[in-house]
Amino acid sequence: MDPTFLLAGCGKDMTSFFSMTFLFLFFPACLLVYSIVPKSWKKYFLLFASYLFYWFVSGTLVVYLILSTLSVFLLGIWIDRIQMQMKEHIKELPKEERKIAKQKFIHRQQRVVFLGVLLHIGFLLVVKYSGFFVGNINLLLSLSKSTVVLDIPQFAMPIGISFFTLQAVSYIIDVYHGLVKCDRSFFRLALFMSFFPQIVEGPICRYSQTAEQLWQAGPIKYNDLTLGLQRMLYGMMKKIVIADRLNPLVTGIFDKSNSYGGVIILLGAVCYTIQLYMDFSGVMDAVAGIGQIFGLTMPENFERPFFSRSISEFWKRWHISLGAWFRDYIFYPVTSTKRMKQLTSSARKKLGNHFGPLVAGGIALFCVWFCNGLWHGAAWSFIFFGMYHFTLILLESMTAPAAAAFNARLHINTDGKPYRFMQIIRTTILVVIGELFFRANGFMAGLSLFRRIFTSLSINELSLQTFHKLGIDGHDILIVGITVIIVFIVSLINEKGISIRETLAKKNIVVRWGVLYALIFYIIIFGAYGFGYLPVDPMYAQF
Amino acid sequence: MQSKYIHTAKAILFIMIFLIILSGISQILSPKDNTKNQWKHDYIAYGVLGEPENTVDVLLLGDSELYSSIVPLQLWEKYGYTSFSCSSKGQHLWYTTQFLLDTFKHQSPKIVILETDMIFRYFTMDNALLHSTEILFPALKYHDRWKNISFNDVIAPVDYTYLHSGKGYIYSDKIAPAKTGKYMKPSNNYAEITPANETYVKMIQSFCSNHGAKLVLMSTPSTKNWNMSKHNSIERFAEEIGVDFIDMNTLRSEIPIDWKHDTRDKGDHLNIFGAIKATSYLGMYLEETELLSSHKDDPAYNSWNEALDTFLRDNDLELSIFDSR
Repeated sequence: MDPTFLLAGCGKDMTSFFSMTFLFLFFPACLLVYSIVPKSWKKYFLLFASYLFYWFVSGTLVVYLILSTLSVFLLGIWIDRIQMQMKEHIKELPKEERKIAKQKFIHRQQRVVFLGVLLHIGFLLVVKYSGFFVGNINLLLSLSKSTVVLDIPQFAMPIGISFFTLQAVSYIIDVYHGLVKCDRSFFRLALFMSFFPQIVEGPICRYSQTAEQLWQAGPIKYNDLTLGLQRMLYGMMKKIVIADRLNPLVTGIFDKSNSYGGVIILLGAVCYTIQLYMDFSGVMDAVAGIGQIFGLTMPENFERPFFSRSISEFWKRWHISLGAWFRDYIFYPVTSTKRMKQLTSSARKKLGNHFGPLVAGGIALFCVWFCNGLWHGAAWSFIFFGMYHFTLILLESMTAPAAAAFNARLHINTDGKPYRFMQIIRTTILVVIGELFFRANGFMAGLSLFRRIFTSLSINELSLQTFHKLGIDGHDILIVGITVIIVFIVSLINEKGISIRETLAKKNIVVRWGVLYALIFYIIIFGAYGFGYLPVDPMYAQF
Repeated sequence: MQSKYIHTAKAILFIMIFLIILSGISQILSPKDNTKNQWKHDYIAYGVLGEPENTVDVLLLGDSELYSSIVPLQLWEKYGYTSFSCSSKGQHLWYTTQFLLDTFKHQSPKIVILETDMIFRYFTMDNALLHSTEILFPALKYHDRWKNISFNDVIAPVDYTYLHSGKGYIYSDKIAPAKTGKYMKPSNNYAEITPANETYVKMIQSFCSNHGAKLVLMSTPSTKNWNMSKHNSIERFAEEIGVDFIDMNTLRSEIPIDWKHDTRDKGDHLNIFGAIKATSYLGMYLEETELLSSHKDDPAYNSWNEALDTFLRDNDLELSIFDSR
């Protein structure tokens, strides 16, 4: 087929919602047509727009999305049928026989769920991870002096596969648990799976969160439009002004890490953490903003994670939808198995009420963080990243009673500002270390960078000359600093429960428009785009 | 219903105010001079803006192949033709159109030569969209000038003072021999020209014909960037749109490039020795078109003689170098 057939895959730029093609062509065209079509057609138009978006971005790989949707649709109906048969069947049975009969039907449902999970996760494993697995097998073979070398398979990766696969699996499991009713409308399910703002980087939505909302798509309200655009602009500022401006510095440090000492590596790790947060949360602001324009409330993926007092709290505030998915579909199912329950009760007897449950919890936590690391990418550095956070969270749980006793003995006010501040700083340092390994070009490179922070620390490295070498000047540092402070102040106000957007909405038109113009021109003037800048793809789209 | 109209009116007003402010900011941020300090990007290529009005007869547009291959001052010295090479590293066709538009505001070239290497350079729809918008609102292109903006930028009129002594040619006498084993091996294949690039060339052609200029497609010698399948495609395309195509890579006897001596980076670009040979051929072609006349004896063009002296002096060259083959 002609590669440019009906513009298939010609809109790869649109993976960024801040690209010109998306902002000034696709999205306005969508809004225009959406406003014109009758209310009953709006949902179908959203579905059409979502598939059109996917077609522009991924071309013929849209087949993956269609097959994935079709399979969950059929599996949902299959599970539902078994549930209906079960109800019909046990209704006629005497009470004492019901339990055994019900069990049979539950096993049948579990087999269907297993098939669904196997199909989707298996497919994800093949497409995303087979290269990594085969590479490691080859390494083992070479270590055992075997001459056999397996060909490393390469597959075209459909954009957003890591996100829509998790949505598909959650739907099947939710139908099995009776949390949602199986969807008999293929189009509704297809819209839930493919809604264009969330397919590239999430959030990973549950069927109960967005499917019905999307299906009830109504006319665009003026208030939603203005608030949505505001949110998009705020996200754009985070991405274009901060994240993209930091990109040359971060890339320069990590790609030529051997040329730099500890201070610059540390700076690189801090800047990368800021870049990743501003990039990902900026895109999530855009997703929430677009959703709001269409009248939807999208689940939030970030809740000011850098105000977290512990790593476990951090992960409740960072990439919330992924953490919640692992909690609901890995942690709880693992801890609630019969064996784990037995393990908990026997461990409770031997280790006490605090440490006892930690044994089974630790195993489940290990599974969660192994998967979390692997989800981010097929490399040992990502697995290490997962294990690093697993260790920190487990240690946090294990040392909690000792820490509480210690604080009590020293009469430390754990609710006081200094203590909270110290906890926030400690958490941030631990996060930055994790991100250093996450960004490093491989696990060994990460180790080497980490070691160098302590072995070649010299403050003399920190000069404007070094920054110039890294493609960033004093003005860039100034503008990044100012914008980070702006984001910090906004976050601080939000953290105190004050909604800036609502406060602003109550002001007169001069103030409201003034703020909007200020934001728009701030991005236009201080954004890192156009001449002299390389466009930076959304960072989480690669996962 | 009434509120719907009010909202629409508000939206229109908002956009209008936005466009007015954007135009104002564009005015402030646009460079007032074409010097290196003000222009930053590709100031050498934009040296054309400093040339006196309507003095450039041949406009050369292209990427680094072009600024390494054609010596405008050789054309001046030999034929009295005035030409300028608006070429920049990795130039895309959307950027070429900006050079074209900006140059034609002050100049009326009779011939426009487009280096064909760019026709095979891929660019995204986003690039094209952003840079088309930049033409309307230069603030998008020069937004980074906030870093060194002065009060003068707000009040000073536009006055382009920078002239490039090489008229866009970037001198190099480095020698790094090339391997020519696969260079221009016969092929019946056709390299792909993207629809976007095709459209841009057609737009450039239409612009030239509307402004009374002849468009010529030209491929300068390069073992790394050119091959027969590209030649085949451009030959077919040039025929289709009805323009001349000079492929210097196929003119081995007319342009006897010695790939052991005439390239500065193993065949990617020519050095001064190769450039003189390529320019010599281009001079003959331009003469044959009979569209140009010599300005050698016109006192109004004295600055070109001065530029030639500067060019030779700066690069420690003798005038006789233009006769070397």
